[in-house]
Amino acid sequence: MKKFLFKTLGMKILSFSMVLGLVPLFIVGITLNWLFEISRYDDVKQRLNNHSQEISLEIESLINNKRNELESMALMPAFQSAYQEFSTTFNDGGIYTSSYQDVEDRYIDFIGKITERNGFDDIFLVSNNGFVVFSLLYGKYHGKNLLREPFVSDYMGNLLKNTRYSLQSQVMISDANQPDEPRFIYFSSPIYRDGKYLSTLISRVPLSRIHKTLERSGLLESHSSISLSERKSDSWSSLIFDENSSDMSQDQASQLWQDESSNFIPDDKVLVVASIIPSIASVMRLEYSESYILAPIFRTRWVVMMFMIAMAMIIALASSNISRSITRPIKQLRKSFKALADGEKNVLVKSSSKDEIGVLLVQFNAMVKKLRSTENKLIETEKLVSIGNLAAGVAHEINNPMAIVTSNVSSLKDYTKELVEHLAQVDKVLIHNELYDNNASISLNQNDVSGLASEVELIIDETGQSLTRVKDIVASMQVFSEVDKEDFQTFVINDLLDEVIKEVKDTNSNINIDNKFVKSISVYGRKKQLKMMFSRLIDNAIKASDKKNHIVQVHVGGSEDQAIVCVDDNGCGIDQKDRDKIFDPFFTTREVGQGIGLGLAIAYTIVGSHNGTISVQSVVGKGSRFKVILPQTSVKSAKTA
Amino acid sequence: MKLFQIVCAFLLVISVSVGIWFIGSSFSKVHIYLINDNAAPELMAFAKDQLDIMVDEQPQFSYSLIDDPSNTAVVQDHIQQTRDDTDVMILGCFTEACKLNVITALGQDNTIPFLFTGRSNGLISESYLWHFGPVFNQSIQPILGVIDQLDYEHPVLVSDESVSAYLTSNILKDLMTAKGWTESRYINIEQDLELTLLDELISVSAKQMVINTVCQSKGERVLEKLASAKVVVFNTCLPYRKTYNQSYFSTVLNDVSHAENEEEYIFNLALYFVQLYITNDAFKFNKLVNLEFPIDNQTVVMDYKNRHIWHQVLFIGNQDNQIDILYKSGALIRPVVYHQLRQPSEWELMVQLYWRNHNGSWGM
Repeated sequence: MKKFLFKTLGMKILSFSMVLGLVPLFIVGITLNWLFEISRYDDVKQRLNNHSQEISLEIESLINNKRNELESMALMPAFQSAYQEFSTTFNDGGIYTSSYQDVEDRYIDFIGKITERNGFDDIFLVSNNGFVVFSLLYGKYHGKNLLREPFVSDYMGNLLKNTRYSLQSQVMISDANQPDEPRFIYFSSPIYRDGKYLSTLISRVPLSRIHKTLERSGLLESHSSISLSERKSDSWSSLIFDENSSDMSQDQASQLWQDESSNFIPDDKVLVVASIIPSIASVMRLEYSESYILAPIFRTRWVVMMFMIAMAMIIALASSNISRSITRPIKQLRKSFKALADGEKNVLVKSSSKDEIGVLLVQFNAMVKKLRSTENKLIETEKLVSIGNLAAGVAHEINNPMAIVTSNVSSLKDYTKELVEHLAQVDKVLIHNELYDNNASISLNQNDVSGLASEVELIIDETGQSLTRVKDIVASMQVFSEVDKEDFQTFVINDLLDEVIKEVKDTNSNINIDNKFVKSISVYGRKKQLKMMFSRLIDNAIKASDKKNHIVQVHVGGSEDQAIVCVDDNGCGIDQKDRDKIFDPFFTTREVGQGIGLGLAIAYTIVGSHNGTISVQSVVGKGSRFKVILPQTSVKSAKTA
Repeated sequence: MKLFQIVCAFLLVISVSVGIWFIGSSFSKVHIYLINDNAAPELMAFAKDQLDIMVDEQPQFSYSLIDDPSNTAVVQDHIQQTRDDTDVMILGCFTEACKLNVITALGQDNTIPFLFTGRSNGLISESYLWHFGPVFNQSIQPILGVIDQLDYEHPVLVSDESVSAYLTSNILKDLMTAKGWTESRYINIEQDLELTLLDELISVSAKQMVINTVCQSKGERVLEKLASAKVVVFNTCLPYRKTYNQSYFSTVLNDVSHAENEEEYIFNLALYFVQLYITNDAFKFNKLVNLEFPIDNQTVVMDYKNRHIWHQVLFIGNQDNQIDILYKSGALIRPVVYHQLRQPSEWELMVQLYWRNHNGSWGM
């Protein structure tokens, strides 16, 4: 695996940057999504719990209002009177007597209206001994005794018993003997007269009233279903009033009674919220479909996922960009290094940024330039060394025959002189003999001998001068071979220049040389060679300066890093076309015999060997300036090199 | 680069600190003033233990003790010391007198919730009162039905001048009258008349039940005398640790074998309520009505209107040390603060009359 991974730096950077970007992204994204889902889920549960509580409060409120209304009705004297009259006539002859009808006629309008106004659909007046002495709708309880069978054990009997025993109002839900039988919520309240329990007032509302009330209040939602289960003494009775709801099992109801908190039921994919309705001893179950509850959570999950994918793409693109921004200049560098190794000239790289990579490229370019410069210098040095070696060899080989030739020419000159003198003696003898011996016809032509003698002397002088020039050339060429043979030393360059100027003045008394030293500068270099270099420069300046008014100036300046020496003359200047060649060996603009063209070449070589520079500034007709810069650090490094 | 790392480290520390602060500050701080009910020292020890546990487990809670709830200045001083960023509630009292003392000390303008953890007769409808124990119609009134059921004759009502006995006996008198028990006797005992009590009770027939509303030490002495006379008695006070033969009592606990723990159960109900308040911001006090409290395997409900608890009630008979359930409410009984025999204003006047007749004291 490792073999295939990270073959390139770009791939490595891309991989690492993607990992560094994607891992936190996924960790943060998943964590935030998880926290958000928990929060959202809690919010949903809270909202559903609130919804459940609102519904239970609405039901509770409805029942409590009805109970209060019945209690208020029980306090009405009209009901007390009605009960007494109904009770009296009922006890006298039952419900089918004219006297009962009379009482009923008197009260039916009042009881009917007040029952209807308070939202009840029937009402019962029950005597202390259990008889229903009046009922509005003449139902099955009319005229019956609730404390006897078959009613004593059903809800009406229990309702009456509880009311009588506790003297408190009661609420109870009717049983359903048939599946479609309508169910009612029964309310009871004791009727007192003069502080004594008189009878019981019972009334009822249909159980469906709860559903209608909830519908009117807008608490029922289409995505939820509601069901109730009534707690009996040892069982649970379902009170379904929502057609969408399912029957609640005994266990479910019991569990919801104990723990009414909202819970997901995975099998049914529903969320169930429960609330207790204490006034009817029931537990209410609100059921929400899981898809409805979780829809916003799923939607958010998708949004987060899409966002994370988008962010991952952005990170991938950014990583790729980062990788390329790093590897591109490195690739450039690699190519340039290869080109450099192959000896190509154009190896500089483009750098647009100013970061570390940009600085690296800039430094690479500087290094290449420096390398080129060093290479050129090395080539030049090698060339000079070759020239030096060649010059040394040539000088060595030439010097010996030259010594013989020179000696012979000198001897020839002497011999010629003696020969001429001898010929003159011979001529004198011949003349004498002619004077004293007329027969003597042998005589020398005097004009021919003196002319020959002067001609031979001229030739020999010219030969001697040529030999001297050859000797100078050979001596100059030897300088090239001796450039690096002297040790470095520290000396004050001002003193050196003073010495040179003095020597020059000694040999050229009519020359005016000004030394304009700004400050005293110490130099670490080859003293003799620098002396020779400055001597040549000044000599060159003297020869170039105006013949009538020689002005040569020597300036010294510089800093801790470098020493600067300028040699100025007021000569005719140097043509632009000659400026590039003046440091070439054997280049001269002087007449033949006036210079051999090695002075500036030697100066250039010596300055170069000190890692310095020599340059020329010249204005034709005004003069020239040769500027020598000797860097102190370069000098030291040259020494160590 | 180093500066960048320092800035990053600084921001990290700041963000972590802010996060911790935010998490910490997201919970409300609640300070509970526990009322020291001198009439119930054992229960006070229990209450302190429970609060100590809660404070240890949940640092956002703190509590302090109000030693003298009858002293208005002391109560007010305690409450005014509470910081603005802390919710305050008053918790405790196991007797009617203690409850009335606290309500009097708090005054009519009070808005600090008072979580009362004892039995009472109701008759107080202060909006800040949250009543966790059973009220008269739950713990006492069903005895009328039990007497009917067991075919006892007109009961004898024993009371004294304590506020609890005074209120209970007055309501009972009204109800006994409503029941038509015209031959019932009402015996009001005083300390110096205790000797005459036995003579009175000797004449109680075997078919009669005595309803004892006298509580605490005096009530114990009454019960001892009734027990020695072998009179069947229904005791309206909280179940005593010591049970008496031939006595009936009521409890809101399903587990009758531990009926003596009713006060602890009620106190835990109140603590459950406090926990709901603190653990969920949505459960502010107004949200806690009609809420179920499933504690100790039984579920009760806070009434949505009068802030009393719907309790299930059992009436227990102790005959020859044999515990029998005489009556068990089929469902939770609605708490009625003012019985409908009289108007609320009449009941309140009766309470005020006691206050005036006892020189501005609830006789704690």
